[in-house]
Amino acid sequence: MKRASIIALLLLGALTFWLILLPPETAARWQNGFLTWFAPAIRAAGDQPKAIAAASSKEERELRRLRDEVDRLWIERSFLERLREENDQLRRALAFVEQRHHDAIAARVIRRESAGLWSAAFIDKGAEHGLTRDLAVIAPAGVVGKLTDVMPRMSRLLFLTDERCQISARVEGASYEGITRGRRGMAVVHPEVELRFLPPRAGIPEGSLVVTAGLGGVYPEGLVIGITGRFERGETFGSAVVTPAADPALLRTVFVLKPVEPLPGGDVVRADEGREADDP
Amino acid sequence: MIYRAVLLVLLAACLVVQEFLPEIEVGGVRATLLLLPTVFLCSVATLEYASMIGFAAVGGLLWDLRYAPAGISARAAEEARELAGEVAGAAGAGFGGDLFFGSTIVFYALAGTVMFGVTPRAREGRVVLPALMVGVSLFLLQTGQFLALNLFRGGFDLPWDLLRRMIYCAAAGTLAAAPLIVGLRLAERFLKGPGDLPALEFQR
Repeated sequence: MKRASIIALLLLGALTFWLILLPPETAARWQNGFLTWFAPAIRAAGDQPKAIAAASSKEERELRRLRDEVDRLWIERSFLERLREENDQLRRALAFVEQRHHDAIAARVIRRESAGLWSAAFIDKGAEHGLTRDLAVIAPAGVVGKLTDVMPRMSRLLFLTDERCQISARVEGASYEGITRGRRGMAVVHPEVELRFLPPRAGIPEGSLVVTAGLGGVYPEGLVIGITGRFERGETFGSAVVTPAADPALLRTVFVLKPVEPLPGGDVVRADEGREADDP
Repeated sequence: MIYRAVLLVLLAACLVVQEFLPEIEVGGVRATLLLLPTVFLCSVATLEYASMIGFAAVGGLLWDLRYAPAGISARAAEEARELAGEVAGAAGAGFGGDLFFGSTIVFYALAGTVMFGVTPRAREGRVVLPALMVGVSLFLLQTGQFLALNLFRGGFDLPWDLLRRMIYCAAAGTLAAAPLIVGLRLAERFLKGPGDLPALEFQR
């Protein structure tokens, strides 16, 4: 082997070793910087189908805007219903429970990841719109995933069908709680997720509704995740296949849930308003 | 030197073009042409081993900067462990580590080394075997990466759908390889001059 080749291999080894030792935060910072710089290409690629269609007349744009508005109002209504239920329970129990509310920020899915091994997409809202990482993302049909990387005007959304997106969930109408997660390397167009850590003899009937349990602090309680399929018994735990209610392949508009911080008196204030108030 | 600079720009441009490439849906599985690794593997036919290693480093780093979700892995593992403990009393279950940032460099170097075996054929102007080897190397690159992912995360899972996707991506790469190899060889000849390339007679 030539001397140059040996030196190149040694340098490659050293580079790899250095990257292994690199703190994840540093790698994430580099990637964030790169994606911020690279964002115009991702946006342009996302806008490409629209440019080809070229038929987005004023009326169509207005129709799309109104549809988004209807979806947003639908989500707000579901939250208000939940608040009403909570309020009723509070009245019955005559005890104070922390009130929590979310703002739903509409965002457009601009680009779905196609080349990597991960189940993710980019949305057109970012830090400039008050988003931060780990915020829950939903659609009118149900949970979509969460934000993992937030750039100034764009964010990466990890779908619930990715193995690393794990959500505490419960089966509606039953006392079983578990964790949903996507299957590793799922490459199909309409992937499923798995509800794990169920009792081995749970015997969940097919077609049961799976909703978020509210543990972990990312997803509020009671959001629809999907519908159960077959149940698989294990030695220690059982698991059920879940078909997501919000199909990642069909999503165009999603809603990022931005928590509104509660005040001691029970009133709510938006997270960004709270920060502004702190500034001198 | 100019050729290598052009190749460097070409690899960076591939990352941009990749964004505009459509996905093909075959039997419920999505696949696409993995342009950057395909161009890298084709370029091996025009490089010395040491240069190939250098380009593997550049290509792998570019790929990871764009596609590896570096920000989530460590956090996700911690969150999953906490959640498992909270929900099912099974703390520590469910999620191991992940591929480290920059790991693609190693896989590119390995795939490039496999590809390097057929470099003499490409230099003779024969493109069929090198094009097939691009497909094989692409497949090995993807499977190697996924098997390493299994190793880091724990458990073994290689879904048939994913295997199909890898085969389709490799097939797309094979189809694109022949014109790319010819184009790169011509670019090399043009930029380096004919003196550096004693055997560039394409077979009829």
